[in-house]
Amino acid sequence: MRGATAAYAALGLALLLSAAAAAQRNDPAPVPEEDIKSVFLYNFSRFVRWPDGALGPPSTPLRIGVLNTAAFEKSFQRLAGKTAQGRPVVFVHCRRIEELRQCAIVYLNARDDLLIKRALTALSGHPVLTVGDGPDFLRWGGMLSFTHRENRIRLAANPAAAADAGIRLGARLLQVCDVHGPPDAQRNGTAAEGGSS
Amino acid sequence: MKRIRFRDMPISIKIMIINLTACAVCLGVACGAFLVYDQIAFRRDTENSTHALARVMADNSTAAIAFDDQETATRVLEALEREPEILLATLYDRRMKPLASFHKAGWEGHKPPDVLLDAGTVYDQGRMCVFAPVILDGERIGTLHISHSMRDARLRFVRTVVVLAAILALSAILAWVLVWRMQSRISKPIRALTDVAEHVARERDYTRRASGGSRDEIGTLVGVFNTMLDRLEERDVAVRDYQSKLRSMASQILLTEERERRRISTGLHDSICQYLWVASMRLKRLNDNETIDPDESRQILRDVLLMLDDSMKEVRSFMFQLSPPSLYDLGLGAALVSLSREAEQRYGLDVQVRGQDVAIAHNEELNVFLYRAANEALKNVYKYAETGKAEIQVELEDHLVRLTVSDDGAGFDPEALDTRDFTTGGFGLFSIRERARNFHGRLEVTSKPGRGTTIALEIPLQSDG
Repeated sequence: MRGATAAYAALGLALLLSAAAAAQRNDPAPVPEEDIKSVFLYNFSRFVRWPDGALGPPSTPLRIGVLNTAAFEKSFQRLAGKTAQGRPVVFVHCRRIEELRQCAIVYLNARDDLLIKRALTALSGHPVLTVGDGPDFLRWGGMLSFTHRENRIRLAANPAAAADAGIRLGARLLQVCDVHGPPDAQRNGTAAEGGSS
Repeated sequence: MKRIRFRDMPISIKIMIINLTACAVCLGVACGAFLVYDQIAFRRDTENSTHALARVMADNSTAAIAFDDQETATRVLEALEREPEILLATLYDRRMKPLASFHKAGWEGHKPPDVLLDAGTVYDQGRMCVFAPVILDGERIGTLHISHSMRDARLRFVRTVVVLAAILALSAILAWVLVWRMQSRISKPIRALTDVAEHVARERDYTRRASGGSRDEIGTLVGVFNTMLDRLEERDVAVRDYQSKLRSMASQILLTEERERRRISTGLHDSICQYLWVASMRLKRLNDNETIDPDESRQILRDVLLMLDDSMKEVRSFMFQLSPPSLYDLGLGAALVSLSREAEQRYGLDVQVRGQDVAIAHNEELNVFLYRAANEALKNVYKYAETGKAEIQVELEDHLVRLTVSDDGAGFDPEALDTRDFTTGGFGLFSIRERARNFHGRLEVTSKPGRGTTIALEIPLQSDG
């Protein structure tokens, strides 16, 4: 519960700092964090390689799921019609943990740490890229995490967790990430760069 | 200093100037073309390598742009620090807003060009600005700009100019040496020809010849010049020979005239004067002796009459020899008949005259010439032909009179006439030929050893002579 509070505080701070950073770059209006994260989620699909057959037949859309929020609805609408890995990208709202297994990428943005841990446990061993917030998310077994540093959204990665699920994080993705986990896992993840993008 | 015009220069200098000018122009054009090509090729290579670098950098920047990671983008661009000619690099996002930039030390104040491209090259403020798109999944998500210094291009230009100038200078020296050595093949025969021509013109020495055995135009010119000199030399020899003959003939004429005067003087003294002296002595005796008997006086008178008659004959003979009266009184035909009788009496020649009745317009000078020519021809028959017969024929054809004197005697080689030494006399035929030319006519001698001789004179009647 204390972790969730800290996450919310960090998110709020990140929103404020992101807005301040946008103002520094003379943007006409601050970009909502959901828009940034939705774009990031979409871009993850272009830097990650899933195990063969994990995404189903080529005609199957690549599903990006969000566990429990409707705040991304407008942001996802802006990305409608996008493609990745040669497939159409579909954004879905998952109301149950079981639905998460049908996605290629899930953003676990629940306020409840227990819920997040349950979701991670349910997805363990499944080729689903798990994305969350804060450094604890990676410690719990998440693969990618949004963090805030120097007023900007930064990324952190746990290539070992991804490798356990058969997912390879591209070198370019890791280039922009703070990498956590054992060094050999980092090397494996870096070596996985190739057809990921 | 007086300026020498090109056309007045020696041909060797002209050849040098023309060749060196052509070499310099061609080498200059070639070097200029090479310089332009080298610069274009170098810029193209630089542009290609910069584009390749930009594509690699753009590829490495995809994640940084995709996740709006300025720090990573800056780190990626900092890799350009190792590229000494990269001055400035900027990474733009999809909306061409700068995400990160890199400045080479000392170039911090420089900015990207005003014109931004999605891809391509612009040259701005002495630098090459290359733009490469940042592509992710076939979609342009940003643009990378790299400014490449043109300093190396300028240095290469200066270096190439220096090298080409050195090559040009060496080539010019080499061309100068080669042309100087080779131009003599053309200029030397021409100079030799000019020297010979100047010598011939100055010294009137037609024995000199120009050398040059080539088959080109110069060889042809030398050959034609030498042929011309051959003819000039032949003509010069002929003129000298002719002048020598004329001088000898003038001397011979004076001598002949003196001989003739002496012969007349001697003849007058030995014959007519003797007759007249004896006659005068006889008449003196008749005058001094009043008692002389009539028979003796009659005898004296008969002797005197006889001597006067002989004197008259001698006078007529001299008159005829000096100038036949019939030529002036009765014309050429009668004079030729008289000449034939004289020849018969003096030389024992049987001379037949044909065409003595031909009527020739009265031209005293021409008649005298034809008469003298016939007389000279008969003398030659008497002297050389070893025959007792000769024939004189006069013909008249369309304003042309032809006098022919022929014999059936020993004959001779007409070619020998041209090589005879006239300094010892014998100007008969030469004199006749020269006088015939004076009348615009010609003399033709036809003879062969043992086949007789025919001398034909053709004189146009309308001539002024």
